[in-house]
Amino acid sequence: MKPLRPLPLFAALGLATLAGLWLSLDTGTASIHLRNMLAGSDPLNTQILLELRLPRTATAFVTGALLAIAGALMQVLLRNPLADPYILGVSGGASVGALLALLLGAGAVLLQTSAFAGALVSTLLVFALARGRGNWNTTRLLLTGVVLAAGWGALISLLLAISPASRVQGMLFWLMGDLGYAQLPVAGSVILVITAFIAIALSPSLNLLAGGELRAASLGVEVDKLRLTLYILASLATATAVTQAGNIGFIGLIAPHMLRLAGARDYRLLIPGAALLGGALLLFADALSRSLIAPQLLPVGVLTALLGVPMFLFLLYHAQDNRHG
Amino acid sequence: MAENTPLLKTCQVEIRIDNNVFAHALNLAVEPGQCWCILGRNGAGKTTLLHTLAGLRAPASGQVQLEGKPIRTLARKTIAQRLGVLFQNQEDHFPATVMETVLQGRHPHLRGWQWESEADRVIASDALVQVDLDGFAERDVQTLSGGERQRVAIASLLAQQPRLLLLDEPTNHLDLRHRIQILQQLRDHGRKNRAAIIMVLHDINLAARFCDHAILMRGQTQIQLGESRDILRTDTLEDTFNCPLTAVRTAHGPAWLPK
Repeated sequence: MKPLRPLPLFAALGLATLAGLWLSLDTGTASIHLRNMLAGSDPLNTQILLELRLPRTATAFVTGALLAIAGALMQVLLRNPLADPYILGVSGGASVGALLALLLGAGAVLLQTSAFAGALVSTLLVFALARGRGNWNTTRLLLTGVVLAAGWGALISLLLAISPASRVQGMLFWLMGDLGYAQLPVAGSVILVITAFIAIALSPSLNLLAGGELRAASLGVEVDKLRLTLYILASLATATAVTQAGNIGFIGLIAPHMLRLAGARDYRLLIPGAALLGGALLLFADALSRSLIAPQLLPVGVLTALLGVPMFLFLLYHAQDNRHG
Repeated sequence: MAENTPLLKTCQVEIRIDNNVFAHALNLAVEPGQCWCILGRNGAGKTTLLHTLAGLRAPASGQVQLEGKPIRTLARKTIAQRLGVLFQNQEDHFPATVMETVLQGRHPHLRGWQWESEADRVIASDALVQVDLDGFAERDVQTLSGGERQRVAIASLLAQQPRLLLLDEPTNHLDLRHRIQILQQLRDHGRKNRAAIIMVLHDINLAARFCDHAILMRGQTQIQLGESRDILRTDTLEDTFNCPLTAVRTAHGPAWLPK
């Protein structure tokens, strides 16, 4: 079980990201190809590229990267390999906000505002309830979040049940992850850069926190401050991702684990690696969701799982062999 | 630091969890080179005392001082450069190699985002040799036995190079040979580097053999402390553990067997 060399890792992830970007810009209902468009040309094609495909592509990358970072942070915050960005109910709150907006027939801006507000409410609620009277241990945080997420789940079912049939299709798409409302992710990009920067700066402490809170404290980590920062950072990243693209499952759970299985266990490599891998995965998934049964679209969340499950199982299967290496 | 300041000192420390008081008005001074053991009944507060001494939990009243300064006022990193802790249990939910785990002991000595240097790797490798685990560097800690895992944790503590080592049952899971070897190594390490050691032990004979000072905890704030030769006696030990003992003379001094 040798540690991974950073250079080949980031070369591979960088190439995957570039390929994903190209594929995503090249794919769409209109058969316009990037090669022809770059060669110059039809203003309509340029318009499709800049106003439809570029926002969608950028949103896919930023969302995937945010989810992967949030997943890695949640896993270390809760010291639970099964944690994903949605485990503490951030996405449940966002979903209820989004579905309410969809029920009222709101447009993209109101939808996103409403989703973000829901995520914020959920984040503050979990924090206040888990904190109780000053003491928030990991189990309490996890239980509070999971129970609240279940509560949001019930509300989501209720909203789906009482909504008119004409709206339910759009709601289900959003719940499974939908990049159809994508706008150029300016705020999202800023939040991604900030989150990634802070997470990478914290990564030496994250390595220690993974081995337990007391041990981390005994090795010089200010654990309370770190946990609070992680909670805020992961919640912000998740809220931003969900606001942009709905509940895209799976990436936040598997991107960090795929890197761990490939040997990038050090958070100094894991965080930037997960961001690239998560971004690339969502780019490919989104391109496939637009082309598999074109002109019909598939929910991108379905594709992330269909792509991710075999990749993850392949790595898991092969990692067994060299554990004793 | 003044020449005669103790490494670690407690002033009138009271330790309590909810309404259970474990120590009352505890005054302790640990000097460089000393090796202390904490012996006592289950639930008498040995681990709680150790965590309090490490500054990981605040005493209900009184003060713990590290090198003459109140430990609550020091940054965790400053404390970690001077004081290292071995915990009773190790958590490993995520895969990591033995080398990665031992290198974590170097963290207090790294600046910010700095990567471990070659010198840090040499220190970590030496620590692995000391605990008899050379050749294990690339193994996944999740595949190790309990005793091997314990020795990895001790190697990580040695790599931290603290002046004060607090160990919670360092002989847990260790086989007979490694129990003696690790305790010998810790004592020699302490003497050579003028470091002090405080460890929770369950084996009174190992404690008497390796520790020059002892803390006996009977529970309900009844604590005796002092030099081992004064307080590790048949009557005090019988009293502490509520168990009749037979004393035996050995080449290493006295030993006790339960009657």
